[in-house]
Amino acid sequence: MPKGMSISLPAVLALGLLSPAVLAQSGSVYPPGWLPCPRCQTGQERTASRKTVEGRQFNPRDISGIWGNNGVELSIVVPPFTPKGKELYDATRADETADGVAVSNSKDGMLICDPLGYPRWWAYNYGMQFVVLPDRVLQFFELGHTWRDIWTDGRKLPENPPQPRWLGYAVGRWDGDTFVIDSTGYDDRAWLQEDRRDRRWGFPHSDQLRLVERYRRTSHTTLDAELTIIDPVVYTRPWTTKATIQLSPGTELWEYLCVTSESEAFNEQRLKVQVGAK
Amino acid sequence: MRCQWVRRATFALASVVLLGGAVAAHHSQPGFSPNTKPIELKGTVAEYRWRNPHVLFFWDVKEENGKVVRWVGEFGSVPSSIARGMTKDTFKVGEAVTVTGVPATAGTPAMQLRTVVKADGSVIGGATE
Repeated sequence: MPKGMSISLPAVLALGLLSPAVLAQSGSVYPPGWLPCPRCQTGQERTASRKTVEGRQFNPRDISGIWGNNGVELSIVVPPFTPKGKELYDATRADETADGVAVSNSKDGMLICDPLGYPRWWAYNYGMQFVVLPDRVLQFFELGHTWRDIWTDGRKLPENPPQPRWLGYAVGRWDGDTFVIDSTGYDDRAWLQEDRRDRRWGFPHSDQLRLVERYRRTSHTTLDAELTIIDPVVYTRPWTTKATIQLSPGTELWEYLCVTSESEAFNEQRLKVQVGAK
Repeated sequence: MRCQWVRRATFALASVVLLGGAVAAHHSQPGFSPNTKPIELKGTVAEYRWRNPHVLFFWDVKEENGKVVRWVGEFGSVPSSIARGMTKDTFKVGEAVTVTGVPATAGTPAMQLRTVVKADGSVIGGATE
């Protein structure tokens, strides 16, 4: 091992003078006419972009636009598990090395580029965009560079979905000025979200998962969102998360694909090295 | 003794300031202990991999016995790194750097990056979002 040295005081003082805002002189990154991704903006850029459109008139029944820059974390008030739910939760625990060090999220499909599924893409997405069409609403996500169809043409949810889907089957309708999405038919290999209280675990769901989402635009730049998770196989009561999502004006979704070869290299050359795994 | 305390406290404060805009890491950070004292390593950039899921940074460190060891650390995702002022051209292979951070508990050449200081004195902050 190289000899460790303590940190010199002048260097530390220099660091102290450099806030992220000072470091972030990123204006030249974007070619003329191209916009930053929602998460590429600095806090100052984000605030300035919002100020340019704040107070504008809006149609409460138009939810189109890019919203947020990183998704909405599920409520920390996690409902109790059913016995089956506890069994599934325990099975998500990360592997450990012989020395007892957890191998990062080793049961998390995200690390091998499995689709995040829904609602995990709601909880983590680098920004999402609603595009309203006559017969459906498209919900795009930068992370994974994918989308969900929310059908508004009057169809009903399938009682017996022909194939479980990572993004389920979704239908939408207006309840006053609130857009309501009901969905079902989810693939139970996905997690609802990693357990951010302790990332060695993830929150599982069953193939009986149902979701109810409610979106209400309250200003040009704000969208009230509510997500309710209903899965009586795993959770003893519904799990509801509420948030106000901010519009991300002056941005466009970029490409954030999960590339298997890149993730494999990342896992081999970073994760395994840092935990000393063979 | 007091000087050492001041250094530690100031380093902690600088880290908070530098990383203040970061949110909690999405990938967990196993293998690092908050009780491990940060170290400083001088070396040369071996590879700067401007890719998702997180930007990886490899640098070579010459040990006292002459052996060269390749270390690895990570910044945030590409979008998060752009927001922190980094670009795909921030580092060039072969340039001298001084890297500070927490070494892996396992004794492997992996570091939880705090800062990378370039030869011209510019400071690049580590992040793991």
